[in-house]
Amino acid sequence: MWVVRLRQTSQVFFVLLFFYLLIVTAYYPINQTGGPVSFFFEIDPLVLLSTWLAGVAIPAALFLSLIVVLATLIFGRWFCGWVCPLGAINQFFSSLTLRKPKDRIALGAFSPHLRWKYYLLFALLGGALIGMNLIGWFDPFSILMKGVGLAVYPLVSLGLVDFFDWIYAIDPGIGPVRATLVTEPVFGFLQDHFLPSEQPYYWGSFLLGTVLIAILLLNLVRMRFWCRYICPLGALLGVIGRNPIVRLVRDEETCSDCGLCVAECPGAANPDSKSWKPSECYYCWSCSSGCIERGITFEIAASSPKAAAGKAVGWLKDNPVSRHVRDWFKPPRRQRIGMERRAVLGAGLVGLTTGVMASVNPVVGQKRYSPDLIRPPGSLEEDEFLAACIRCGECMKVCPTNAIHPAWFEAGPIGLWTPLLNYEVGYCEYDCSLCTQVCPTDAIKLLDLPEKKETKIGMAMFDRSRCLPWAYARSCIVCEEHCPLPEKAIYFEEAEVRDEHGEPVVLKQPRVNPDLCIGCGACQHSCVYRDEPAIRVHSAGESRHFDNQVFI
Amino acid sequence: MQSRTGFPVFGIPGSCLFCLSVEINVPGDRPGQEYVEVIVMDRRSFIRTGAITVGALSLARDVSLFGSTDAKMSVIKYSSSPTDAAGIAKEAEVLTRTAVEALGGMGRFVSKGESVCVKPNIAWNRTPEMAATTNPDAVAEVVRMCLDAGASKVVVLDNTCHKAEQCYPKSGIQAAAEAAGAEVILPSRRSFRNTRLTGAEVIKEWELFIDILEADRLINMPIAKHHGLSKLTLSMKNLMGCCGGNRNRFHQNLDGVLPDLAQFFKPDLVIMDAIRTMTANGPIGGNLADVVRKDTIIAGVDQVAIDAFGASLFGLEPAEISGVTEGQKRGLGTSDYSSLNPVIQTV
Repeated sequence: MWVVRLRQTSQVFFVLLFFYLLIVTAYYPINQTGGPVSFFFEIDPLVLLSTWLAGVAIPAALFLSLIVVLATLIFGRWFCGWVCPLGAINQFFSSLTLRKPKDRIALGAFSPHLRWKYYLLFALLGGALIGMNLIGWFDPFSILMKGVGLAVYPLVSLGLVDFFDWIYAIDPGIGPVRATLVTEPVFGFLQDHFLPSEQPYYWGSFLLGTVLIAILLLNLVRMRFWCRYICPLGALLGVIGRNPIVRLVRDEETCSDCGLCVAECPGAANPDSKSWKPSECYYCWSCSSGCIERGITFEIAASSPKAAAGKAVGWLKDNPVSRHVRDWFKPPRRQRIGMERRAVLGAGLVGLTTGVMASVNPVVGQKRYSPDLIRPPGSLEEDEFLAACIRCGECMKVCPTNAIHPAWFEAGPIGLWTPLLNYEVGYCEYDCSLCTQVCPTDAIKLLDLPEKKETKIGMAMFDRSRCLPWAYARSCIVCEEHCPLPEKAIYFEEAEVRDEHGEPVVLKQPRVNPDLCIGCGACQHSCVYRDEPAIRVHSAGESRHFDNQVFI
Repeated sequence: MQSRTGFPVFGIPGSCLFCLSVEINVPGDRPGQEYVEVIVMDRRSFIRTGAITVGALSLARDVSLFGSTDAKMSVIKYSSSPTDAAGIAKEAEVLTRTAVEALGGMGRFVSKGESVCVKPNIAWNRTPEMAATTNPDAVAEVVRMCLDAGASKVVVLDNTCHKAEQCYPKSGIQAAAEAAGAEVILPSRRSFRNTRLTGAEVIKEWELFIDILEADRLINMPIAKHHGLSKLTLSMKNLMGCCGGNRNRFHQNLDGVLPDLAQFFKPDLVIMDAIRTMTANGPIGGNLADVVRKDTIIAGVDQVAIDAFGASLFGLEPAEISGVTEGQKRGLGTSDYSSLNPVIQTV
């Protein structure tokens, strides 16, 4: 059916767009990315809502999602059916499972479990209200960005590079006809357009990849399991789209109750009955195309029957528009999914109290700071940061030196998957401000390059029990060499010591200049120690925290 | 034969005609480690032995009119100090060309059909004005001269310290070298091969940039600048860019390591850029106030002498620069550069 083909094309388009934007979330030689890489987060109404509730400043771009809200009031959860890339991937994986049509009808039936995502949504919003914004753990774009960008994409790139390097090394072929005549140009093309410039490695990528794979495997249990039972964005769109203007219309006379529409329905929205659930319908038209009687269409239709002319609707006159608005605020019983108001408020309260409990800890209470929690330059103060960060992983993907990684518990359990800098894997490139450019919620504020160069994110300190000139009477100062500041933050004092033979040797012993050091980690990254560097950056001295200072 | 990655290796990719390498399975010094060790004799002795079978390729040489093929060193200074980009580009081209012609022309170093590797300093993510990397127009001029002398191909590369994808374009060298006809090679995973450095005293084996080993000729093009540890980084230190791996360990004994590299790589020609020099906060710099124009290019075949002369440009004694004294001791050259009767000219 042509509408289904159109919808599938749209899904493919948005999946490809997501992957394209993911790939160009990278460094291009003039300190900018390759496109509007935060687009999906900017059209995500859940990001806008949670950012607003969390009380942090809302970047203007997020208001783009109001267009999606408007369209959802008209077309219900069309976004889930036509746009969401995670939904499209889930739908694709669902289609790979082989089941008998009889079972599919049973599995496609509406169930009360569809309520769980609403409880999750309200719990998350309750937490956001108190500043514990965990939307990022459940937002589909966040999950996809982290799972693909930080796990799948690095894995695929490693596999491809290994493969092409292997062919290059063994150089198979017969006489002048060598495999590399084909593989090398293909490799070159992939390097120019697909592969990252350097193989990235992320701590925690195993868990992120596993989460994504688990979500995909859940489709074996039910079609689009995540979308039906867990997705808070789907739940929010379901709330907004609980009484859409364009509705499923079923010809009750020709309907033979075969149930094929139910078997096709990914949302378990009851297309076969008078109690079609608009909040669960993705407007994918699969029911329509599966119906052998051609009895299902989507049209502008009334949610309630026409009332007697002149009758008032509350304090409004009775007309289609006021009836529609009334039905949005109080949907007719048959199209509700049966959640009690108590349960919804209870979920919100659970979120709220969890948020309150989470905020009673020394780090968030700002009495103490975690030394290993080095945030990107431009980051907000920690409690605001945790409220604004949607754990999307964009900053981690874009960092050209692979310095930003998803946190484990360095920022507390709430801080899982928020960004921190790991100077063993990378370092903060001096002439770069990409992380400040890609953050969709301005948890990392946009900084221009001169501002970024003045921003301190920590301070380096020498471990004199390891540092070669201090501990072993050997020369080094590679750290000083790598300090990128025009006036270096590492200086040295010449000292005469005795070496292991008792001979005097003059060494340059390095020290950090605390007024200059910005905590970029180039020193730590360049230190000769491959296990624990002899110079390490800690968070003390970071400019975002007035209290986390040492020197005056 | 097993390769490092564990896949079977049946042979060496075909381009190293002038690289006699024997691949053997070697149990490493560390237990459990096994790798392919490519034993490469130092290139100079290879070219000599190789030349016997290859024969005299061609006697057509690019002989300059005023220079002499006996000259060991040339120091060419510009008479003015242009501030506009076009002016500096012309200055770099003129100085480079004159410096090489004073030594007898590029034909003395590159014969027809040979492949040349030009190794500038591209190490840091800085623009040319910051004088952390070699002047791009000088590099382009060297590429052109090699191609004019009949080189079969010219590759330009460096194992950078910052990300190569940033340094190559930012330094201007990628664009300039490609426009001049060179093949610009970025370091990648497959660029390095564990190699034994014969004749070395400190670094007996290290991962080295394969494309340098496989080229017939090597032209080392450093930029002279300040360095915290070695006081200055000049031509011998620039050879660190031929190495991969964890070369920051070299700094424990630069006096020992730099002559190891110098005697192994033995560049056919050294051309040192002293047009813009960084006088403080090197080797990365970042402050234009630290950049001083010296408008000079030095070329020669004696690495020790060139480094010694470089010291004098900054008002330092040759012995203060890492590797000079030791290099002279090992017979790599002389720090008494005036004894070489360098051709000194102002253009």
